[in-house]
Amino acid sequence: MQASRARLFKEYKEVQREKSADPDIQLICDDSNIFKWTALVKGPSETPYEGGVFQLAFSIPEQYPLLPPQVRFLTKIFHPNVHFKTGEICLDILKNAWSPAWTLQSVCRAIIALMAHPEPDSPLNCDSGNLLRSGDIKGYQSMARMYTRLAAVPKKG
Amino acid sequence: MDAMASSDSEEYYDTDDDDMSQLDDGSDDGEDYDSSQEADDEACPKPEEREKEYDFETEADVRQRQEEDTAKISELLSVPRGFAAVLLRHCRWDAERLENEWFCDERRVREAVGLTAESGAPTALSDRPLACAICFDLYGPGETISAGCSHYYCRECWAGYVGAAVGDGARCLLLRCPDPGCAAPVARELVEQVAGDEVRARYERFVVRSYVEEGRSKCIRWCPGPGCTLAVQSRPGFRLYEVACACKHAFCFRCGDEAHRPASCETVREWAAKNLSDRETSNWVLVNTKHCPECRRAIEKNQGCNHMTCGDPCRHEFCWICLGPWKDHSGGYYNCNRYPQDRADESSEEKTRREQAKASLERYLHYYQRWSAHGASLKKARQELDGLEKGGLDRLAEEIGGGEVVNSTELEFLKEAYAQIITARRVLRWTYAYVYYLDPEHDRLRCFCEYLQGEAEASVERLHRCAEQERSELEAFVSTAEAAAEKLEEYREKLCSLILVSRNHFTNLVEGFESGMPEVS
Repeated sequence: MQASRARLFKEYKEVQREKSADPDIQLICDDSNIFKWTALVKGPSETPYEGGVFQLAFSIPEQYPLLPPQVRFLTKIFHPNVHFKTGEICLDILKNAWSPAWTLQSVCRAIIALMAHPEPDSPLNCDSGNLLRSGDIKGYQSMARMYTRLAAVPKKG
Repeated sequence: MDAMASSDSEEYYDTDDDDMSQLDDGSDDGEDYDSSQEADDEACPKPEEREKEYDFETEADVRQRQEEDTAKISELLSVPRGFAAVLLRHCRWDAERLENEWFCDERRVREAVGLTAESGAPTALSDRPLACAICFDLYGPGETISAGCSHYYCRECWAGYVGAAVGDGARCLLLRCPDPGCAAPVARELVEQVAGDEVRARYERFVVRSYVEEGRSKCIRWCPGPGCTLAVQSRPGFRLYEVACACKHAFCFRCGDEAHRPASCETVREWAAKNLSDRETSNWVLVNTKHCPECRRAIEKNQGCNHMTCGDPCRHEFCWICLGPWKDHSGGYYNCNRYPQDRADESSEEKTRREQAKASLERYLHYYQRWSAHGASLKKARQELDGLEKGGLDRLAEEIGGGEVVNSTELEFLKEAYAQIITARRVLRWTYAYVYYLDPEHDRLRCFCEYLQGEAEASVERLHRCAEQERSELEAFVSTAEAAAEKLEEYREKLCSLILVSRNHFTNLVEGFESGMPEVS
């Protein structure tokens, strides 16, 4: 069996086994394709993303884990390091700082950490980056909170 | 390896040439130039061997030296070889700097490369059963391996990890343990244990290249010539300008660009940028276009008629000559041909600007055309020399007197002629960039430079003509063997004396230009 497949299979089993280990992350493998995953991550508390649930799409290359998975937000999010239209994420471990010791689970944790600690100096969403860089924390937070409410908070009823 | 410099390699460094008065009897005075050809023609005798300013080293030589440096450091700092190499690379292969930093603050140096005080060996095997943290498979004791830290992976995953990094390029020299929180360096010992032959060879090449490319204190450079793998090491005490590699590529030791004496590296950079820049294009626009007097758009006249109609949406009609509205030119009003006593044709400001731009463009073009023409001749001469080396001399020997008169080794002087033509054209070429950047106000200096340039140019044209035209006459000369031999001897004497003249001219030219000619400044 292909190394990437074997490793993903092991990650899958690990996820099944430790379902409750991290309540903020829910990883789901595509029924028919082990190279496609989705994840639901909870917006970290004390951030404008609190209360939201964000959906991530994973597309995993055949050379995984030597190459990083491609991850993007499916849920709209207002964040300096996430492209507002495509959901592309600017995160070093998904690019040149990738290590095969990362797992899909730990990538999700890194993305949650990024949500809590944006890097406005390398923005994919310039509007959001500019708000933070100019010190308008309130402006950034209310924009981010609005989009969280609009797009990421589950509708009741 | 101590490769011999080829014949054209050292003439730039000759500084002991005698004065110009001897130039014309170029037959027996051998002290004026170098030749490493095994001299077999009396007209171009072997000169004294000059002290060489640089040595050539092959990749293997460089590797050996690097190994020696690494071994010394390994012993001195009591660290394994692989770590010694990591430490040396961190200090740009400067052993002295590493020693200083190490004995000043060992901990800091260790931290910089990811070594801890506990780092003992560059690899370690696990003594218990473990799951590889990459593929998650279970392995028995001794089957997983670490970079000396506590993160163990199986050999296959290591091979993949190292292979991917080596495939990525020189970053493999900075490779760390795959664990995101661990900085332990992946040293050579580990690479050797886990990687296949191909990856290992590639890794080794990066290590050697790093020694030359990152080593700042070494005065060593790879020859940038296409396909050449030699490194050039300058000897202590010499300030190297130009190197003629054994592969025939002549390059500047300082900037790595094609050889460019007497122009400085800065001049060359500026000149190259100028040749590329669109500033010259905008100059052209300025010279060759006028502006529509209504909408100020730049217009190039591409037809003969002077009745201009500006493009949409302006549609203004005007006269190209006087820029006045065309309606004034019809009927009885036509007065464009009359010299205006009281009316400026166009604003004098614009006119001055255009004239200045034109003068500046013309000046640039003057130098650029000559610079590029010498470049083209240089290329042709290089092809010719290649041809002579690849059997051209043999063919020529066949043709002259049916192969009875000379053998090809006796025609080696032709190769020398071309080598000199190549050198001379290259120098001349760069004198044009040099003169272009001279202070335009400083007429005396420029005139003197142009005088030297002109003399040198005349001498290389004579030499080039003799080597090219007169040789073809020689080839066409069919007669008795005796007559052919005599004719050949005559030709050889003439060509060799021209080589000498040219060598002297160019040595003086380069020295004069490089000194900045204080006597006229």
